[in-house]
Amino acid sequence: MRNLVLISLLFLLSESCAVSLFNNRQQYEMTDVTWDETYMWFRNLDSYSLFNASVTMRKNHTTGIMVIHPLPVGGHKVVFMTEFGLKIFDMEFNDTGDLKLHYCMPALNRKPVIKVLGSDIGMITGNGITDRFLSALYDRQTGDVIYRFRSKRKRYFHIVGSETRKVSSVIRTSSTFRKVRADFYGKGGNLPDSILLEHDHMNLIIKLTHINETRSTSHE
Amino acid sequence: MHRLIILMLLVRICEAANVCAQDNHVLMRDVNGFKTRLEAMSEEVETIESDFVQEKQLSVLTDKIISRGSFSFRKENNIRWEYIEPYHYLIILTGNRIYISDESGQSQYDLESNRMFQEMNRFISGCIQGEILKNDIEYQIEYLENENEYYVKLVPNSGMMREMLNEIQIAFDRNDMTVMRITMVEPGGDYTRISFVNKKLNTEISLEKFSFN
Repeated sequence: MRNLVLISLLFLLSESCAVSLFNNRQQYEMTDVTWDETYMWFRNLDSYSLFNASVTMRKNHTTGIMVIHPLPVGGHKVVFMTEFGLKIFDMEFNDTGDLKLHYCMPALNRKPVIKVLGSDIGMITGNGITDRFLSALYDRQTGDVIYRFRSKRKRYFHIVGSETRKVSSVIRTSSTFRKVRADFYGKGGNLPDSILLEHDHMNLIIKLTHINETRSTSHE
Repeated sequence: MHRLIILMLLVRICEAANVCAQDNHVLMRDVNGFKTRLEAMSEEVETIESDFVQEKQLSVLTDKIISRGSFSFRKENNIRWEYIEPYHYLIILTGNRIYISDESGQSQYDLESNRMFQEMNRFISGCIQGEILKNDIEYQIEYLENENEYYVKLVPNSGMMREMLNEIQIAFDRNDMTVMRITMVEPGGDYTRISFVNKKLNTEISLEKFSFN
């Protein structure tokens, strides 16, 4: 019984903490607009896109190329590899956001690492997150709309720019008060120009910059 | 049933003959001769300049990811590897230092302080100069050839390495013994192939090309 009370208290605390991100009554007001999936990046793509990627995890820093490929059945395949082509990890997110790990190089292949990287990359591709819409807030100062979602015991806040009608930021909060923020920079379309993802409680930063590629066929 | 037996027999015949139907590779007849020629080339060549085309084949993609760049080598242990398109990435290995310049900035490392870069240096220079073929402790080596090239397959012995690479294939030009292409095959069949084109041997390459400034 004691545990139940404690858990309930913790839950209430976490709820209030999550809401407190946008609780300035003068700045925000509830709005009855509904979510539109076209606000998300990486939708309606017919081929892969390439990003220069840098991942800083604690004292380790690595750069490489990230391939984000839409799957015909929904969801995305994400491959991170060195510039020389050696695969670092290969993940697949289905349309409900479930992660399937196809490969991870031995030095990184630890359950906690995969869990964190999977959550973060999943936050960028956005699969399965926006299925459970809770409410929306209107930002009087910027004209942005903040959409609240709950998915897999985590809360997500998608901030949609008033001009671009695209997600400019995604904030993820968990019951342990940890916060992760991904900022998307771009002028519209289906692909962002760059993405910056940061954790507030640990040194984990993922930076992606879109590579403008002229597709050509293989020389062989 | 008959068809199945015939098919199995054909597979066996191909295996027995060690024939790779795609490139008509057969077992190398004179492995020692090949090694002698490679060693002589390695002695004679002071510099190599080349362009390269890198193809990345991922099973989920219908197109290969193509990148291009230039490669320079100057004895001893000076390697410059520069990707020009579709992204910029420069790596210089010189002596026991490594310099990397990419979109996120520039960095320098001491090779001895970083095992991964040590291995990378050993692998790249080993492939280019053929030193890797002396390493029959870490690799099982199979020697093949066709009319245009010598073709060597290296299968890593270590389980850790095999989790990353199933096989490394190096094709050497029969005429000048330089590396024509390196293919790194991953578990699952995805691969990276780097083909060297417009090769120039023993041209003057200034040491400045390998400086970090």
